[in-house]
Amino acid sequence: MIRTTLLWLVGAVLVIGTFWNIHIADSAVAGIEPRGEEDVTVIENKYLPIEFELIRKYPNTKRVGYISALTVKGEPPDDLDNLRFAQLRYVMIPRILVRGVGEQFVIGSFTPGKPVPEAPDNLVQVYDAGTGMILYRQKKTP
Amino acid sequence: MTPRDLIFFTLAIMVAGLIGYLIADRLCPRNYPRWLVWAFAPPTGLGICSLIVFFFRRPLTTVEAMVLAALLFFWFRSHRTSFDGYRIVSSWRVPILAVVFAIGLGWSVGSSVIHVERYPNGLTDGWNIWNSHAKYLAAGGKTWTVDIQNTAHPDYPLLLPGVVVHAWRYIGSNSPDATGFVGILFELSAVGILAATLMKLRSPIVGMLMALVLIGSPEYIHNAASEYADVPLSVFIVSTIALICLYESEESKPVGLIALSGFMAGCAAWTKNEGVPFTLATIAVLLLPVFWSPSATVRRIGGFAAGLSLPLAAIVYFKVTIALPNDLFDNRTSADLIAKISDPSRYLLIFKSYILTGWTFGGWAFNPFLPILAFIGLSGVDRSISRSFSWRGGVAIVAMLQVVYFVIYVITPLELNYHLRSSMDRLLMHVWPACLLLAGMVVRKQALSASP
Repeated sequence: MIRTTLLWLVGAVLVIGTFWNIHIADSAVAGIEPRGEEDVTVIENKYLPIEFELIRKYPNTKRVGYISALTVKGEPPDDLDNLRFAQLRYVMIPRILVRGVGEQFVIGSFTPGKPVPEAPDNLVQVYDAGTGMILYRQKKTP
Repeated sequence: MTPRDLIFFTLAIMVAGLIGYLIADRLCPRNYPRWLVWAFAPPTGLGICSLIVFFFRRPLTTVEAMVLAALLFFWFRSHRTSFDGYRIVSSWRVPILAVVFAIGLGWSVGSSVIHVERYPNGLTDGWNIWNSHAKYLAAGGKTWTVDIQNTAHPDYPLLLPGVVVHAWRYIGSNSPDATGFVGILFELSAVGILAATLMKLRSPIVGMLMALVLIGSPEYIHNAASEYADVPLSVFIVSTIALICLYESEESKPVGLIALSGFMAGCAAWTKNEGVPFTLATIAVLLLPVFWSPSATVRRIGGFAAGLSLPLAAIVYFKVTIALPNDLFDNRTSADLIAKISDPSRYLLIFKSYILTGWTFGGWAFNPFLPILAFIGLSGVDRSISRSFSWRGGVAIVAMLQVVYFVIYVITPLELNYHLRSSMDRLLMHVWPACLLLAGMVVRKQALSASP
């Protein structure tokens, strides 16, 4: 009798504990920022005007270079820069994003509202998305 | 996700589920209740559809239609339409625990759906690895094998990207939410397999309680909705061990069950690299009795190998022709390895991390370990289980996998603290449903044998 009572008691504790765990998980989900503020979605929205420009004018472009405020200054990318690069690389698939200025087209990813650093000499601006992302292309060699 | 996308996503999952059911139905004994067969349908179907995507890519819907037609043809030839199995379900008295279980499951899934809505691309591993691979697989043309090398961890196997591409093809676009819903589906599969296997081998109460504990593991649910492949891997691990337990529990030793187990183990290796040592550990455990019962062992391993062959072919083809070397093993020197292996502080650090993370990896506010132990103790321990090959084998597989993970941590080229912090909780997730299954198997059968 005591054993059965204890068994039901332990079962009830397990069930209540599980519901408490679900409540904690549910509360955490409720605190997540709205969909439009999620990092990858933000990057995607910043990039989309450039994608439309590429589709409109240079649809066969597959490989695209990448520069940021840090790399333009010749500094190594930090963790945040690496994260932003990875996020942009993801949203650009099936295009291929690679670091550097060696490709025909290069995307500059900068902080909106801050002055855009001067682009490397071999690049000329093609399109400014107005979102902190700028599309460059190689200067035509004479 | 728009209502239209949701309809086509549902269709994609129904096709995979039906293929999975028809295969599981052919491989499970005829006298098995239908709900048990259905429990194994989603991982089987998703595994098959992933392999179809990998081998056939563009005509995948045609191939799936052909596979489905063939399976339906054989099913109608061998079955008279009967609802006997379901009548048993309808005759169940629904106990209070089943209602509680359904409420918990519904609440958890609802929460996960909101998570997916907020993080449509999943968390870092979701978009950086699995969705990136899926996007190249879906749209990269003939050069996808080269293009995929511009992603993080291009050597990771393609089961999850394959399943995502399967869903995207039905939807007609790369709907990001679909990937999170696939994660939730895998989570539900783990819950279903755990509950159904314990219902069959122990009792409905044990099955539902253990499944409820899994649902109440916030990190597990979080990882599923974030599209981390650790949850699908855990599904294939628990499926493999559950099917070995079911195989061993049948006197006739139906070879179909062990073949399905082999397929699940192969899918584990096709999901993540960690699935490879799991598959090897399973093979070693299944082979071990060859010294005292050779004929039974040959039959067991033969069936297992038959099921394993298809995913194994995909893995070998992928690793040999496409995948780059793994970042943990590439460019390693023997001097570096020896220095790490001979450093006792690394062992101590890993051991400490196992102890600490082992207590917290589920992200619980209420830790279920002690109540589970109390429940097992009060229900009565089935002492015969310690002599059962399937239970001892399951424990050995889980233990061997942890030993492999331990060794990987010892020799990892990454900074050890960072590597432990960033991965150990997820590695423990791999075996969490299997541990709940093995814990449930310890409960004495007669103690809680009430029909649901």
